[in-house]
Amino acid sequence: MTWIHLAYMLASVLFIFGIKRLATVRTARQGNMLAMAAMLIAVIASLSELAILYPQHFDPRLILTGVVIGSAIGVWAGVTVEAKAMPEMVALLNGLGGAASLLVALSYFYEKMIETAHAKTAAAVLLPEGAVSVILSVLIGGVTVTGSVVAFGKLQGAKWMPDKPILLPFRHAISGGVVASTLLFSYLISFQVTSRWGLLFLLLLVTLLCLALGVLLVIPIGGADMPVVISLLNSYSGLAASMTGFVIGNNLLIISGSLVGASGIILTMIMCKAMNRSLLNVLVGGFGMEEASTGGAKKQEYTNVKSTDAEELAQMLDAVERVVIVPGYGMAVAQAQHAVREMADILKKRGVSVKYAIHPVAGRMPGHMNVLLAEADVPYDELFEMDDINNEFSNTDISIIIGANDVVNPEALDKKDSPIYGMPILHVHESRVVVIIKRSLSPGYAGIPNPLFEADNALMFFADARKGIEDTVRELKSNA
Amino acid sequence: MLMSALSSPARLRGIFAAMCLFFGALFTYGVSSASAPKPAKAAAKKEAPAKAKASTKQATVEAAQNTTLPPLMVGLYIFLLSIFVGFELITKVPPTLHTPLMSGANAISGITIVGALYCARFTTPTIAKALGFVAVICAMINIVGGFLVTDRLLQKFKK
Repeated sequence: MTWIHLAYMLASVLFIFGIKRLATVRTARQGNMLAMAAMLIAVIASLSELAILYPQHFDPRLILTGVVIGSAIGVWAGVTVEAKAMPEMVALLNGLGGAASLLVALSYFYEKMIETAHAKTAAAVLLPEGAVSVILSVLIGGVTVTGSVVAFGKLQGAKWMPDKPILLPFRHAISGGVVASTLLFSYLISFQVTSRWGLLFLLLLVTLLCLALGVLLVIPIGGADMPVVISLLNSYSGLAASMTGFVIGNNLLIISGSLVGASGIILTMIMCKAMNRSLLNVLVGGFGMEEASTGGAKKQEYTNVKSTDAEELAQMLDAVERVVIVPGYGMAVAQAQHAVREMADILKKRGVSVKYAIHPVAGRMPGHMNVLLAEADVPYDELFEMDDINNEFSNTDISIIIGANDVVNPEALDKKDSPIYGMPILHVHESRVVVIIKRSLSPGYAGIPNPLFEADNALMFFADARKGIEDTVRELKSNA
Repeated sequence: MLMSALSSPARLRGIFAAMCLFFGALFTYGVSSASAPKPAKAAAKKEAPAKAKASTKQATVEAAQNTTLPPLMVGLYIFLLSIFVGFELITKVPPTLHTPLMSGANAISGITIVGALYCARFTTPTIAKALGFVAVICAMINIVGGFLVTDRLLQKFKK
C-alpha cells in the first residue's frame, strides 16, 4: 500500500506543478501534459488500490467499460469542437465533472445506507463527518451540474436559455427558501431518519433541490458574465471533488480538488477585477437590465452618426502608417478572424504597422480573442494587452473596432453615473479615426449607449464583421 | 523542472512555504502519533476510570491509538493547506491564459474519477454500482475532453 500512497503523492505534486506551469505562456502546454500524467498515475494507483483492498470481489469490467465509453465521448467532444464553441464546451465538461461528484456521493450513500440493511442514522453508520461530506458533495455537485448546463445554454445562445438575464419575481426569496429547505432535509438525512424509504425519499428531494438551486443561481446572470460564472462553477466542481475525497477518505482527491477550488476562486476574482465589478455584483445578476428598462429607449438615440463602407475604409487604409485592430465578441460570432488576418497581411505587406488591442474581457471568455486570433495564425507578438497599448492610440491613424462595444465606451472614463464607470477601457477614441464595424447601433452587454458612435472621429461601418472585412479585403486588393 | 521553477523565486516562495507547512504538518502528526506520551495519559484517565488499575497498561495502549489523528483531521489539514497552495499558484496570469487555465483546472477537477472508480469497483447489478458506472463515464469525459480542449487551446500559442 505504501507505494500506492507514494503514487498519489506524486500525482498531487504533478498537479501542483501542472497548474503552476499552465499559468505561464511558455510552459502552459507542458503544464497540461504534467496534469495529464498526474491523472494517469492517479487512475492506475486507484485501480491498484481497489485490487489490493478487495482481492476477492474486485471486478474491473464495469470500470473498464465506463472508462472506454467516457474516453471515446471525451475524444470525440475534444476533437470535433470548433474553436468558437470552446467556451461552451468548457462549461459542459465542467457540468459533467460536477455530475460525477454528485453521482459518486449518491452511489456511496445508496450503497452504505439503502442497500445495506440496518436501522441506524447516516451519522451513526458513516460517522457525522462522513454524512456531512456526502451531503456537501451532493449539494455542490448538484449546483455545478445545472449551473453549468444553464451557462452552456446561455453561451450557445440556445433557444431554451436566452442570453439575457431572467429575473423571477421574488427570486431572492425563492433561492433562500430552496437553500433553507435543503439544509433542513440534509440535517434530517444525516442525523434523524433511519428508515430506508425515508432516506431514499429525502436524498432524492435534496438532489432535486440542489439541481433547482443551480438553475436559480445562474439564470439571472447575463450571457457576457458567463466566464465568471463558469470559473466559479469550476471552482465548485473542484470543491465537490474535494468533498468526495472526504467521503471515500482519499487525500489525493482532497488535495487536487481544493487546488482547483482555490485557483478557480482566484481566477474568478481576476476576471471580476478586469470588469471593475465585485463578484457579488456579478452573482446578484440582472446587470444592464435596470438601465434598459428605465431610460434605455430614450438614451439609445444617436444624433451625429456618420457611416462608411468597405470602399471608403479601403481608401482610408491606403494612406495610413499605424493601424490598431480591436476585436470583440462580434468577431467571434461572425468568425471573422481569418478575414481579419488577411486584411492585416495586406496592410503589413505595404509597410503598415498593424497591432491588435486585446481587452481583458473582450469576448465571452478571458483570452477568447487570443484563441481566435491564434487560430487564424496571427503572430502572438502582434497582440497587445490593454495597458501596453493604451498610450499608443494617440499615435494611431485608424482604429478598427470589430464587434466590440462596452470595452471601448468612453463613458467608463468620465460619466460618473454610468454603470460601467471605472471599468478600464481601450482608449480608441484618442486615435485619429475610429471605424466601428458593427451590425447596428444596438447597445452592448451593459445595455447603455456608446457616445463613441457619434464622436467626431468615428465612422460606423454597418455590416456583419466577416462580410465587412472580406469586402474591405477585396477593395484593398483591387486598389493594389 | 525544478531548475526552471526556481527561476521565478518570488511566486514560488509561497508555494514552497505552503508545501513545507504541508509536509511539516504530516511529519509532526507522524511523530506525535508515534510517541504521544502526554495526551495518552490524559485520555487514559478520562476513558478508564472504572477499570482503573487492572487494565492500566491496556488502557494506555488503547489511548495511544486514540491519539492518532483521526482521518478527518488529517483530511482537514490537507484541505486547508492545499487551498493555500491553490491561492499561491495563481497570482498573475496573463489574460490570454485565463481560458486555457480554466479549462485545464476543469480537467483536473475530473480527479473525482477516483471516487467513481471506487463506486463501480464490483460488477454487481445494483443501483449504487449503476450510479458509479455513470459517474465513471462522466468523469472520464470531463478528463479526456478537458485535457484535449486545453491542449488545443494551447497549441495555438506555440510559435
